[in-house]
Amino acid sequence: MNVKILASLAMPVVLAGVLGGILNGTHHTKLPSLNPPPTVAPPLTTQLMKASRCDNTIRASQPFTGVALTKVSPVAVNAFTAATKSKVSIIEFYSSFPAKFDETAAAYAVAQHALPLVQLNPGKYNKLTLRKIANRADDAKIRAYADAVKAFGYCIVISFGHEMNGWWYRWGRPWNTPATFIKAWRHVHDLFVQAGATNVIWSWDPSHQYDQVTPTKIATPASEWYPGNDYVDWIGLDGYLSLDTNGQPQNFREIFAHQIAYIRSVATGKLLYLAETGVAKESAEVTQINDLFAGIHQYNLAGLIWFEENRKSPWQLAGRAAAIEAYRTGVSQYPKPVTIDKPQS
Amino acid sequence: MNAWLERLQPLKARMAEAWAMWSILAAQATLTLPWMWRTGAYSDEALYLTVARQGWKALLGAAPNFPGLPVIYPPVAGFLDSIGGTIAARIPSLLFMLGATALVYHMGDRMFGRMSGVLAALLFAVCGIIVHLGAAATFDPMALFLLVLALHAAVRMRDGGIGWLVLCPLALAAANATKYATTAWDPLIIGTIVLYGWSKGRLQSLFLAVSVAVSTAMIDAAVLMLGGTNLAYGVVDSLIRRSPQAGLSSSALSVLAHALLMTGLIVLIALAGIWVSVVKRMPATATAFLCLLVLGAVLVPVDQARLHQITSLDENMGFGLPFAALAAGYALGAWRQWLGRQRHWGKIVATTAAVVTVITMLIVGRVERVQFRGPAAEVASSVWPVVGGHFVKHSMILDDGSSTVGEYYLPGIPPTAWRTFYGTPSDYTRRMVKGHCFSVVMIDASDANSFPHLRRILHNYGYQRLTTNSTVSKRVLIWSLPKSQVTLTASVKARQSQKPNPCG
Repeated sequence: MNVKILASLAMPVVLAGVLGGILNGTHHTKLPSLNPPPTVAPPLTTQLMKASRCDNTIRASQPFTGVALTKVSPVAVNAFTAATKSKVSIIEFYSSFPAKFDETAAAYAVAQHALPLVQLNPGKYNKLTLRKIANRADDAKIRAYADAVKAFGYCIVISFGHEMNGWWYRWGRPWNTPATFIKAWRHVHDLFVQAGATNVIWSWDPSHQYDQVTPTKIATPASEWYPGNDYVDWIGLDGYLSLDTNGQPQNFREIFAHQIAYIRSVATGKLLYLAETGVAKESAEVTQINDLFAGIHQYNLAGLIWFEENRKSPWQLAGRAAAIEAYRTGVSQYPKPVTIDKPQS
Repeated sequence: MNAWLERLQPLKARMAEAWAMWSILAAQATLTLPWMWRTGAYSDEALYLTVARQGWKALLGAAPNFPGLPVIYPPVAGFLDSIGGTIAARIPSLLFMLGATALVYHMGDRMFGRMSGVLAALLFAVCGIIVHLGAAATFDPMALFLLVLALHAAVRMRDGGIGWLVLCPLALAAANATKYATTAWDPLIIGTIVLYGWSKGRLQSLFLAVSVAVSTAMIDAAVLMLGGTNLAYGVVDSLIRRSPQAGLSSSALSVLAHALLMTGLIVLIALAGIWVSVVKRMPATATAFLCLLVLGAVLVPVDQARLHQITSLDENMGFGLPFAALAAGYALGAWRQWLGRQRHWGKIVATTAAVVTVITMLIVGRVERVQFRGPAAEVASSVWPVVGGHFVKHSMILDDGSSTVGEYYLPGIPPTAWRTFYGTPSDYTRRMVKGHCFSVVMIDASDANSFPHLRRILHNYGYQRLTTNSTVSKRVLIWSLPKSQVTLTASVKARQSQKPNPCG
């Protein structure tokens, strides 16, 4: 056997020894997960997450935390849970509507023992979509979606037309009115009920913005857009803490307090939580994260879902050591289960 | 002393022999150098240098958003940037690209003869993508050099010592770590060891290939384990998460057409190399090796066409060019030799054809804009001081995609002050303009005609068009608002009354 062949045999062995020593010495013995999302949920999850038990499941872990991602990515979810060392009870993602039900993403959430929360966007760039839904022009597609959700079988949270009370989505003002939105919401809800998709928790998710800030920038109290107690199970409020234009850190009260008051004036017996939230990366982030968790306690909310994406501002926790530490502390100091309004069955 | 000088003699002789290579390197440096100061930082450069400027913590935190390990290239560029600005940060890139060309020359010389080596290096060096990579402070030049070094080691492994066997996986793993996308070429390096070494001994070539593959995989895995989930996110984002759903920005045909224009000539000549090999009845492994080299060049265009993505096409096509240049060098060299044997004027005709090819490559490299070429340096030196000068503290800046570059040139402005819109400004953005939330608005002049509504709003709501010099005004339009009119919203009074931030 020639020298080169011997060397080719020896090299990986020597390398394995050297690398093994380094990895062991530095306690890096696990390969980070790169697994694609499973398409079939494991049997244990089947037992845990069947529709009839979903409310109990989520209430058992209150106050809960979740993560929101534009597209479900196992790596992003793993990175978030590993960094924050917290259980993710809800995995939130977004989808055009009417469109095909993203069962892969929902199944992935279930496999992680989390509730899938899908944000249905009725026409992100088309103001007519909401009107078509309200006027029953898209019933066939919606029925197909409802059938797919029913066939999925696991408990799922569905939010339709989130942040409708703001001015930035086509299903809100000035393109559509509260009357159209409420009509569309109720119609979608009814179609799901007709399809027998009883595994859906209906989450109505307005934005924290509640008043107009320029003559044409219309944000209104969420109460104007409320579809009614019979059509809503949960209420998720969207809002973020950042710096105002004076460079001052925003706090929980100034962002959420008014809208919470408006919501509670019309919605009774509903679980209220933050469906999309985050704290921008800046100097006061630790104080603001502490304030966020304090607000959850003070206002008796059921939990929060962190928006783990960098969009309008850098909300992502990944790589922010101080912010992650504050988040971990916030989660660990959640009190014992708070009294939550009983969800509608 | 004399003994030492005597020992240098062979090296001096070899350097003198390689005068053609030195000429090519000089030509490459001449082509590249002007771009180093003729262009300002583009978005990728600005991002890497800005993060590097913020220190190790920021670099480690940026791992999920970087296309390569943040601790290899960015600290080097960041350090040079802190000393001599963008131009200094670009110097390593030129050196890496010159190194890559030298290696292409040596490989071509060793595998196919001196003339093929010269032609391969020449085609590689004058290609527009390579010229501009040498003037770009990004991960790519270093990764490309390491990839070519691994290929060189794979070639030398057949006849050289054990050192090449050790160097190959180290260089390959370093390339993979420097830019994750280079992993796509790992199988080609392994294939090179098998196919090029086949004639020297099948068993040996197979053992060497498996050894390099296993060793590289082990180092890659170790890097991944050391990097943890943050790094894994970046790797998956670079390699796996890209899908046709990520954004249907370009048709497959337009992606392929652009690729054909940028590198098509080299690839076509490289394809001719396969034909030459078949006609010359070369061993099947030699023909297969040439096929492998061509495959290296078409990997990226085909993949990008599949994904309908043209972003990063030019950057990543650079990694396939050394492979294609070698096959093209072989084709041209063989053709020149054949024509020389057929006709007494054959070599002159063949040489002229090669020169015409190189000139064509040069012209294409000049005419077709490389995606990652930065804006004219005058823009950087004229626009950003104007923007910085008119920015009002606690207000915002609206731009149509240049905020990353802005953050690099204007580090004093907080990152949260930038608001970027892509495509068409949303109604939300327009209303913020009306609300005087922005003290400065800047848009690319070439896109300005598509924003008549925004321009009308700017005009109607008191924004004033700033005068910039004629060169700059052709590219970037800037508006500003008198300081007294800028809305510094969410005043203390408003905060006390719990009102939301109007401009936030």
